[in-house]
Amino acid sequence: MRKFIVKGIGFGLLVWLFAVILDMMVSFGLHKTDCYRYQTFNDIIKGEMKQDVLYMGNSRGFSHFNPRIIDSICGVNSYSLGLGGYPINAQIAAYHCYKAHNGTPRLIVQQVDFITLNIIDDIRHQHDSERFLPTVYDQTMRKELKKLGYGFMELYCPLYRYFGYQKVIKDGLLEFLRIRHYIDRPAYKGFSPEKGKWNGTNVAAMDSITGILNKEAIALFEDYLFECKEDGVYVLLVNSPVYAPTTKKVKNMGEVNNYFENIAQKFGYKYLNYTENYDLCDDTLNFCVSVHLNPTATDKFSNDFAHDLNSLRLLK
Amino acid sequence: MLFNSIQFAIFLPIVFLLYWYVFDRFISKSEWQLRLQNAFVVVASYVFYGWWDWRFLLLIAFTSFCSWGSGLLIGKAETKNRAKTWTTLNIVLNLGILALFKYYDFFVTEFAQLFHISTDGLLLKVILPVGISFYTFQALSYSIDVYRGKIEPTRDIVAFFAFISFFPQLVAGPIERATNLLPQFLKRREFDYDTAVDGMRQILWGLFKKIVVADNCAMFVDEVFSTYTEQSGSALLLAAIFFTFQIYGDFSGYSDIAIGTARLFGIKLMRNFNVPYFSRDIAEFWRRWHISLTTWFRDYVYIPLGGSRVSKAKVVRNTFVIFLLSGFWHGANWTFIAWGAYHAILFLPLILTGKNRKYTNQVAEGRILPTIKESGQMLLTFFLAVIGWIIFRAESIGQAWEYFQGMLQFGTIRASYRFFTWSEMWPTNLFIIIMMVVEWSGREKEFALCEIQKTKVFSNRFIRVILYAVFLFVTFALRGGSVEFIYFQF
Repeated sequence: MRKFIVKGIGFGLLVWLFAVILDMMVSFGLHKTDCYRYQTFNDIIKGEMKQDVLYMGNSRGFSHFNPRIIDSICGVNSYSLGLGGYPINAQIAAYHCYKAHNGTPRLIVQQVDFITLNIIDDIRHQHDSERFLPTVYDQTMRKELKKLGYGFMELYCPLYRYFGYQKVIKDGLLEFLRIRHYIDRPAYKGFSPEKGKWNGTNVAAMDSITGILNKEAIALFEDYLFECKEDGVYVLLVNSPVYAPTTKKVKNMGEVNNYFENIAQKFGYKYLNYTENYDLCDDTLNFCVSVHLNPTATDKFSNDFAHDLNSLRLLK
Repeated sequence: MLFNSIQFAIFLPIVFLLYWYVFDRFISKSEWQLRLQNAFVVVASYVFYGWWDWRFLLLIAFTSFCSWGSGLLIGKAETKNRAKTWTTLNIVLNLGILALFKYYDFFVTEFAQLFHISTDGLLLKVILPVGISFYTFQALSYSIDVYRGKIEPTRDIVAFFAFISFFPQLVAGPIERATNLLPQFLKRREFDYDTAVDGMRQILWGLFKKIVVADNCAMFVDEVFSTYTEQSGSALLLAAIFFTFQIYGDFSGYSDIAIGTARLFGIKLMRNFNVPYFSRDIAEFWRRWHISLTTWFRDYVYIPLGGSRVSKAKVVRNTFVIFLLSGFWHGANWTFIAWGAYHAILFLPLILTGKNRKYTNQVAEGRILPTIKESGQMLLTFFLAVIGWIIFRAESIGQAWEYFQGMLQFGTIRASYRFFTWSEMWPTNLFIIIMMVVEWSGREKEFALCEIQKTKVFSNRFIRVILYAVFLFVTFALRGGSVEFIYFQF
């Protein structure tokens, strides 16, 4: 039996070594890809960002603020940390990773809307959740991902977190072995506009929805605003354009807007609401889907926003 | 606890080491050694089961105690009639518990529908205890075998509890016979290196079949079956074929892991699958599919009814009885009964013409490839099995019927629903091919990778170790979406 156990342990060690090597190959491969999914956290971990302005938020955070335009108009250096499909707790986790590696920015443009104040306890199976995989080995990432549902095995066991992500493993290995360069919706400083023509399907799907004001999310959000205040970071709350009929379908939009208005006031920040009285919101020609502007409208919005930012003199 | 979970990966080595080192070596000279080791098996098995829901441990303990007690009473009975009474009581009790948890709500609902009465307050709505059909049948086999004099009733309650609850086969079989498994708990087990290594290989192969083949197939199958009204005929046919491989990979994979795990503990479980998709007719298929259940019904239902040595009318009756019961064993749904009836209809011509035992050997024995005739026979049997699995997988008879209708509309796209592209599907196809090729090459052995070290290619230890490591990574890295084993619901 000793022979069986010794061989078993030997095989286990071999498998472990194999897993470590394979994990490194896949992760390094994914670091080299040109894909919006991995770019943000790769850049964060490198610790060379040191941005003046960060755009935080969900998919609208990363697809509505064009750093090329805003940087040139405002004369700043900005980056989008928006996480498509992720609510506030994940967004704050991303900010903490950024802060640990790159220090604090001067300004955070926090994109908010009727689904921001929500919590997802387990992000492992969320949209694009593979974005976190190549950088899990980072201490700050581990700490934050632990709060977002990642277990011991995913955080510490080599390769385990990749299990089930067949395509990710394939892409990482092919990239590492220089067989194929993987390009998927490349992003510029975390920004990637939504493409495609308008089809009205999700206006219908959003028939009479209720804006989320989760208590736990609110507490987390206010802690985050407090933290920024303590760090001397100004947080500008921005509700970027939404197709107007959709906004009208949100039953408690007034309540949601009031909350953001009041909380901004409480911390001495500002809330800019582009979902009301803003011409881009009225025409489907500006949207891919009701909450995502198309690239042309995104540039126009970015231009308008940059001028508004200048007029607020927050970066002087 | 699932075999394909991290909890089991931690649980198994701990139990293995305690079983052999603490309960076998350190106290080997004590007369209590065997009893303590068996007690440890019971504790480990209850932890394994309780991980899912500890409340149902009481049910297993109750079933075990009653069957053990009935065995003693049957053994002590002075007359045959009294023994028969105790046996009947135990059967009624066990089947009563099974019926209560599994079939009560079904019958109430069906009667209520038939007589147009409300089911308000009549339904129990209890969850089905995992593995109840498996361990109930195992317990039944004991008391019936004691009654028949095939086995002596045991006084050793610990060994008996270990026999009922032995964790590798507790929740999804193989359904062991007391005559095979119980004696193994009554004598000291010896550790055998080669058996243990073979056990590890069988576990690895089982994991591949479950995690890679079945779970990858499941992603397509679930999608198509849930949107079958929108799918094209070819997509429906493909999904039915995928389900045929899914259920095989899932269930035979579980059995391989169970048998392999038992080997690590010096216990030999019965074979549950013997390459059923390489069968030349449906009778052969049933000798190779879920063998432990098929032989259970044969030994405890079919033969007592007279088997095939009665009039033709009774043969027809007996055949229908075991196939319908076998279908109903799978669950309280008309689809399972229809599935059983379908197989009975396929089986009948063979048994009535005396051709049901035409193929008792392995196909293409001693040859690498089958003949054209054998290939045709296997394909036909496979196709008949596919048809059966559609009925089995459907949620209702109506759905199965609509599925068949949809499938017959070959080449037509009935709706704009997207089906999977070749780039998404080729890995699953490749996994199925790998499974079938390996199973074909190992069809004359106990399981596909059995004694692989004796083959020319894998006689080199280094190559074997690399193969195992690669297999392990492929298994986990390429896993599909599903986690649960299909047969847990039965």
